[in-house]
Amino acid sequence: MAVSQELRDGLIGNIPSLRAFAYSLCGNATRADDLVQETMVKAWANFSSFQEGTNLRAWLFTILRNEFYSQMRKKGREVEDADGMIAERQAVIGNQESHIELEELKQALNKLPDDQREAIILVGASGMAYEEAAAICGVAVGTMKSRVSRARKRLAEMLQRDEFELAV
Amino acid sequence: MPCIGGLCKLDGGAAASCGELMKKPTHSSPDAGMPSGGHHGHGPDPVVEEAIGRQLRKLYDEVASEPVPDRFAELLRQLEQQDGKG
Repeated sequence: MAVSQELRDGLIGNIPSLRAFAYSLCGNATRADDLVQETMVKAWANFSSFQEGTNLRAWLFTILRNEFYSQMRKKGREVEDADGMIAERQAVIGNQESHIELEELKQALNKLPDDQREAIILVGASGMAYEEAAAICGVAVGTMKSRVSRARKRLAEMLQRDEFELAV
Repeated sequence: MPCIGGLCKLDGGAAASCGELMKKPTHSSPDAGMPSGGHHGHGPDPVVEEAIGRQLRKLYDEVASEPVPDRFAELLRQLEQQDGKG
């Protein structure tokens, strides 16, 4: 069955936010775009199961999320850990300022448990409503709220401590 | 009575300086959060929280506002061609 023009345009329109979601999740530009590509292929093959008129962005984000975790299970996270160590060293040497650097934030995100990381990315970074984020992750809205709040707390603890260590 | 009067003065003094401290949380916060560990109800520093929120949105928005790389247009062409054959 051919993919409708509307779905095709919807897919194209969602590429920028899919890339941002993927990059925030994995912290690696090349891998992020590979994830988006995989998501587009899967979405294209499964458009017949998408109910037109429902939330296309949430549907696409769900595919990307599932793809991310299934790759992580297969490959492990060695690559990200190596990247994280390099970034950590740079942060300690190079940063004398007391504001939070993007690189520090990426490291801190990487240290969060998976469920908290995706929650804070969807709600805190992309600005999505709790309801939509909950649907994407397949959990209740209350669960999503508590994950976001725990993630905020953990990030603040990690980054506050960094700030203190750097100031000494 | 003089005793109570004295206490009152002390209390007043302590409360006043406490209030002053709380008005300027900025650079003294590393000391405040140092070794005391595990204090309840003492949430994250709102200044830090705000900075984190801002950086989270920046991380996301920077990528979301980039032009879409050509590889995705190419991919769409391939997907459409496949459909044509199928």
